[in-house]
Amino acid sequence: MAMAQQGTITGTVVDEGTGQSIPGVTVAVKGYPASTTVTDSAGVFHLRPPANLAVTRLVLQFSYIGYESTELRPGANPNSIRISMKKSDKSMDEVVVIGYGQTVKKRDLTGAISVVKAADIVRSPTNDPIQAIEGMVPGADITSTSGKENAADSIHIRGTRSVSSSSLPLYIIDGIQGGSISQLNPNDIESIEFLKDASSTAIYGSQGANGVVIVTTKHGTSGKARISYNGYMGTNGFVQYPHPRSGQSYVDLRRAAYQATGVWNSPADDSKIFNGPELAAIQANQWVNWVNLVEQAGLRESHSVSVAGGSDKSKAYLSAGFYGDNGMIKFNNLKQYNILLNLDQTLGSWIKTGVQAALVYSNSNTRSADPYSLAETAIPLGKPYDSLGNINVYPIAGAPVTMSPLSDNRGPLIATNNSTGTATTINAHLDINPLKGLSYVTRFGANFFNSRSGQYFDSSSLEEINNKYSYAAATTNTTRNYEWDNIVTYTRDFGDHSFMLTGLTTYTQSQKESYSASGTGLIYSSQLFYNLAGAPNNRFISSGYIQTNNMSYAGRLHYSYKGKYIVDVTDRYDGASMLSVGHKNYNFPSAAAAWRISDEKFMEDVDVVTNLKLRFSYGLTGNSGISAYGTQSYLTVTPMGFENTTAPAYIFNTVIGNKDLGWELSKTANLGIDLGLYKNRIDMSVDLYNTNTDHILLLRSLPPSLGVVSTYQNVGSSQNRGVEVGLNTRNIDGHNFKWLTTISFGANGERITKLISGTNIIDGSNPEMASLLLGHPIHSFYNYIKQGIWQNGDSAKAAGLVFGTTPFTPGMIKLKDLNGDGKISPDSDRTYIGSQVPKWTLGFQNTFIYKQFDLTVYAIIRWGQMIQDAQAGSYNPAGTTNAPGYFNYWTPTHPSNDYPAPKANESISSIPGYTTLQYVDGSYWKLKTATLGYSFPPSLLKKAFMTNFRAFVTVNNIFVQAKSHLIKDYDPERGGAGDSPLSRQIVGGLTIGF
Amino acid sequence: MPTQKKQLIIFTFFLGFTGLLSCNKNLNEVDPTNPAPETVWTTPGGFVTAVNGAYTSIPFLYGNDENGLFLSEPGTDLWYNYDKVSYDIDLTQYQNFTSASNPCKGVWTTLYKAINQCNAGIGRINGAGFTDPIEKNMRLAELKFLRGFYYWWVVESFGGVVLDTVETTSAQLTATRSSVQDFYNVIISDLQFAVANLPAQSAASGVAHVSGGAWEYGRATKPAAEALLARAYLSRAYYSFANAQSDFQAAHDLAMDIINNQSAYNVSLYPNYADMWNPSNRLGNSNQKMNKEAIFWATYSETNTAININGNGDRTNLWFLTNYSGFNPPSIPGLSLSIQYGNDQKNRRFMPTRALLNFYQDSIDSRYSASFQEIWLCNKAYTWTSADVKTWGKDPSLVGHAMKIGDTAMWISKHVISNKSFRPYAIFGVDSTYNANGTISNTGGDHYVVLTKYLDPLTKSGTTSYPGYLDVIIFRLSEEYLVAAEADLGLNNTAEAASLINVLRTRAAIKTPVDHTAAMQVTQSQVTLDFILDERARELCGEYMRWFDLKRTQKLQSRIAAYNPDITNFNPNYYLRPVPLVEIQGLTNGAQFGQNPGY
Repeated sequence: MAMAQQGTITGTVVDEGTGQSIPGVTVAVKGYPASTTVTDSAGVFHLRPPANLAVTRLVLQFSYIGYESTELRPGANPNSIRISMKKSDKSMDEVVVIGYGQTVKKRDLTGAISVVKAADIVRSPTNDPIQAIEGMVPGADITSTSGKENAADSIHIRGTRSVSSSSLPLYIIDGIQGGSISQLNPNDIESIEFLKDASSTAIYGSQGANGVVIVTTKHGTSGKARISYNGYMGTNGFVQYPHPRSGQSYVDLRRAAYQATGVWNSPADDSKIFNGPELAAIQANQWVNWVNLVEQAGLRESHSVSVAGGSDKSKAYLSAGFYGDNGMIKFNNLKQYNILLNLDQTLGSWIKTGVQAALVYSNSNTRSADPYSLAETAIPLGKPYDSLGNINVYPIAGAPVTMSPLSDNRGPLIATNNSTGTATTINAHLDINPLKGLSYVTRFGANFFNSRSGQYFDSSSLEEINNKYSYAAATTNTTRNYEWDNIVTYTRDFGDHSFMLTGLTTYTQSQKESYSASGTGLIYSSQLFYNLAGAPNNRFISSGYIQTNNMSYAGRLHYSYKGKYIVDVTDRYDGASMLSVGHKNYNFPSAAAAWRISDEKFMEDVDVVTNLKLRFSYGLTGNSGISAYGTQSYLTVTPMGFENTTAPAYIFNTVIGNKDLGWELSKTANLGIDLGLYKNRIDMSVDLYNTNTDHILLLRSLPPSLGVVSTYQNVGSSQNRGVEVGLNTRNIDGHNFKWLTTISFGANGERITKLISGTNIIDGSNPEMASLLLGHPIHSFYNYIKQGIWQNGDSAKAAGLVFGTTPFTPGMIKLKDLNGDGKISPDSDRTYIGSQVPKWTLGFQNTFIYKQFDLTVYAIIRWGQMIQDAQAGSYNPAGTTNAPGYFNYWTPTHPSNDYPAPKANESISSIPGYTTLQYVDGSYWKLKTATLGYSFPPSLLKKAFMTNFRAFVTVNNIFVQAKSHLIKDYDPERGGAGDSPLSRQIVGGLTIGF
Repeated sequence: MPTQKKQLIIFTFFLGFTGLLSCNKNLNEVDPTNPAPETVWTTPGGFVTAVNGAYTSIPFLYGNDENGLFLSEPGTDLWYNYDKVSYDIDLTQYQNFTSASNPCKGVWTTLYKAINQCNAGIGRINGAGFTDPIEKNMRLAELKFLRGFYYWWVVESFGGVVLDTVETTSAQLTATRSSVQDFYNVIISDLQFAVANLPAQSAASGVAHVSGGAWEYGRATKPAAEALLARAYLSRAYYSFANAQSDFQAAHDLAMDIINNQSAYNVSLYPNYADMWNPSNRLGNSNQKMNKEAIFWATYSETNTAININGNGDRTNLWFLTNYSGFNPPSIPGLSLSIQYGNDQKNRRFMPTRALLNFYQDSIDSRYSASFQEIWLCNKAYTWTSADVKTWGKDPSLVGHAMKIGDTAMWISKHVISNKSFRPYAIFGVDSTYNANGTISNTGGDHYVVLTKYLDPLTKSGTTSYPGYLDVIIFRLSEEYLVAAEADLGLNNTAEAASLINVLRTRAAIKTPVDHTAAMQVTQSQVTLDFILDERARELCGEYMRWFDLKRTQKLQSRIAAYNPDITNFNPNYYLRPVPLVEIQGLTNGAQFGQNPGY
């Protein structure tokens, strides 16, 4: 008996607070790394100590993520050890991924990195992880771009530096770029880190210029297999969207419009302004609220199952997921299936490998002619359905002119817009440790995307409202991304000095192919787009190929002295195929330092401060952000013929090459403080940064007399400076009741500091939105300043001002005459009026835990930005179509400062300065999500062989309040567009673990 | 084991670093999709694609896009903005006219894009590998014809602006103005080359010196170059810097060359003016010229729509219509939207001024009925209701009167119509369309006589479809008579002017039941500039040129004052269009380049 016991040490690890056993705890013998084991599902471990070491002399080390590591001498009873581990407050030992597979402890970080953990990623009922963490990351401005099922997100990390390129950050998914984060199942994600300052992103060089987002998926752990299910189901719809004019309000606007031209004087003149069928519909009181009819209560559901487990040497994580969304409008839907397999295998003491395989398939239908904006502008009259319940394509009887916004609800044979996509990822790596402290990793990753979009529009569909012939088209896209990294790392400690030295090379290649064909005049709608040979007319075919390559070398030195003084030095040498010959390569250095003040002797007595660290970094990043071939002058083929004979024609591409094009360069300084007070009950990070960007790349509009449209040019400089605050507090931390608050705040000031010509660059094709204005953000609006509407009393003053040569009159928009010449002119009276960039954003999350109940309420504020409100452009002064009912228009007897006077036969575009109406303060606050959950107590779970069972209800996009009354019923997060508003979801779900 | 380990490590390092070194060579760009000019335009067969590319702005200006029409017809004595709508009132009424004008920007951009293509072709032709100098000169002549044509549009619309004769190879952000005189030097020398080198007519096959032998219908020919050069000389003759006599003489001689060599040039007048506008005479055919009078035209294909420059086809069919389908209230009893009468629902643009209608002596001149529609026939059976009788002010006895398909459903007239209440159809006399002073009536402006020249009952696919595929004629033979006559007037040779005009008037005369040929003749003393402009209106109204005619003759102001009372805002600055804001703001020396006065 005693002999047997000599061989093993046995014990149980439990949670100090709950007394529950903890599976998966690593138990090691100090100084003997070969003697390591983990606790089983009951928290029990059996450890064989190193031979020739007396049990009484050895020290056991216990470590587990989320718990404070602890040590113990087994002492006299090595067979019945019972040790309790304490949950770590806010663990400084948490590891943070810093790129190319490397991690450092949070305490050793020198840069500005924000981490979002698994629990926060699954909080919103969405399939898109980035959308799910909107507002949670200080300095990352995330908004949903549309309410469509597969809409992309907009994300800007610390403002916008580039004009031409996308401002999207670089996504690294398990070490490999080129994948799509929106296609990851949020349940499969372990953590997302946002690398924000130049030192953090420096290892990614130019590709990290817009920040780097590193996504780590879940991996298997040794121990008993753990199975879990996460799912929810609920409704999707109930959009916050303005309702159009109806009834008397609609009649009044039309009357006012014709009264202004002298046609209408009394209701007796109604027949002059409404046609017979319209009058009949009015008399029959056939008012229709098309917005209500367009909307449906959709169904959103998500189910995902995962298994994680493994032995000492093999670990696996396998998950399968389904996400389904039947949208808020008919025939808007998405189905997505995910499979992810992560395998980690130790091949020997010095060699390990890992393989990841993922497959995502999605199938979505999207309405092409957007029913919402059609419903907002359609004449609100008629009978939407006939006596059999079928849709009336022309709802106003006897007026086969205005099509019903519901026309495409008749079915897929009327309008189909279907997309399928398959994403396959294979990612494998081999780790070799030939010597102590030296590791070599080679990693190869490949992403393949195949997508197909197909359209069929019947001659009676809304899409073909003008052409009236059936149309079919299909496009396939194939994208192949490859990446090959080789990373050598050497780690060594000399007494108080510790070093980590890294050298790496990375090569990426992206290839895109596209093929597309379309035609019109199909006879059989049932063929949809599956037989384009059935389209006899207007046949178009096209294909294309785009390839880009990047080759880079990088090195990093991480040095720490006593864990108190930490320095990082990084350098990367990048080459990009997109740039001009002679400008393809550039070197990007950076450096950072941190000082852990709280570890200093003089802080020992300051009990209030648990953690205090000062960080500073400075570095250069670059951006090759132009599209492939942007530096070259090419020809493009264009249709041309003489009578019925084809005449092949090649004309110049709209973009002309620039042989001197070079890198866009950003220098960023970052000063950060991490502060933990009262045993980290208050945990705060504050970062101040300043980024100066030079040689901004712009696809610049050229004077049209050159005969080409644009060229890429390095045009100027900009500055982004701002502050970011992340604050976590445990306001109440009782046994039964807890209240936790998380605040993330970001304020960013962005301005263009220099432009090559010394003056604003006014864009040729889109001056209102694409101009570059000195002293203002890149995405600024350039327009007339609207001061209101000219009122009756001001008619003499109004007449003193002309547009062209036409004087202003009451009811017209009152525009500011900037140069005071008595003339409103587009070249001298348009100016900066606002920007898409918010002044600040705030995410505010409160979590309340009472016994088994938890409640999380999450709110967002986005303040100080301007939006281009498309609905403002739907105001029709002739009153013949429709617009939101709350639009307050001017008439001689009803002064208003919102919208100009109605006038028959006038379109909004003929009102001087009308474009300025569309630019509205888009500030808002939003109650984003609330989740109420109930977790079954462990005693109950044990009987059901479960480790975890939580039921929850989540409401998403609960309520939004805009600052401006001009968009009062609108959700400004949508960014101004009138179509595809953001919908609300109410879902109920379960999380189960075995 | 240790050996194996060592080997594996060495192998992996070797693989890693040699592989990566080879990858580094891969930073050169490969683009198989879009070729460089040096790849395509260096053989005679490939070079034709540069020439063909230079034609692509022609349909943009003539029919595919409305901007060309907006810069060439309205803002004159002939057209109102229909029913006072505010659409593009800068060009139609000189209201709100600023440098931001979209049609001006559109035309400017279209023209310079094509000019750059011409410049590239002209500059690169020596590298195209032509072995037959005649073939080379024919292609060069096409390019010079087109450059001359586009620059004529530029200088007449915008004045002395940017004149560039070399291909754009880099982003040049400064520009200088060239004088109108310099423009005409380039235009005239280009066109002289074109006249000397283009073939006399198009042919589907058998054209000497052209590989394949086809000079497709729609390409430039010698008479096209002559017609354009005549127009250029005639335009220049009125400028103060010009030698008017020699320009008039040159214009005269070129126009007469076409008139005198009709068979060589494969052009002739139709016996009846109405035949000219028969839609089937504008329906393209690859093997023969479908319109006898056409000298140069923008082609569209109905059978091969993929070769039209974009999906719009020709949309001129939309822009001269009146409201007949009841799109705006009130609906017209017995009428519904039809392909025959056109899509009136969205893109109506122009109604004739009362003056235009009155230029025609419709009792003796067939051109009125051949150009305008007054009668719409019932296309939807209808029985008069008491409500409609009231709406239309009809006699109560008409209640219950049935209208059959083919009966008259609407009559809009250039005359006053009597006895309206007893006629069982909608009636809009001239007094209901226009006010006494000729301005558009508040209540009747939506119903007016319609220019039918561009109606397209042949190729439109549906009642509300926009595109039609009939050709749009840019130069035609009868204009040459008027060009020669105008030059004759400038040369004080009014006798010949009258006889040339009488050729057209003889054709136009109504011959049955009574022959009005004699009444249509004019005498030498009647030939004045205003008379020629009246005659041009009768013959050529709506044909993409009126504004240029009045600009050339410096008659915009006086004729607007006399005939277009809805334009109250004209001033002489409007003889030039504004340089588009996008140009001024795109130039780093925009202020120095300068805007045209008054904008």
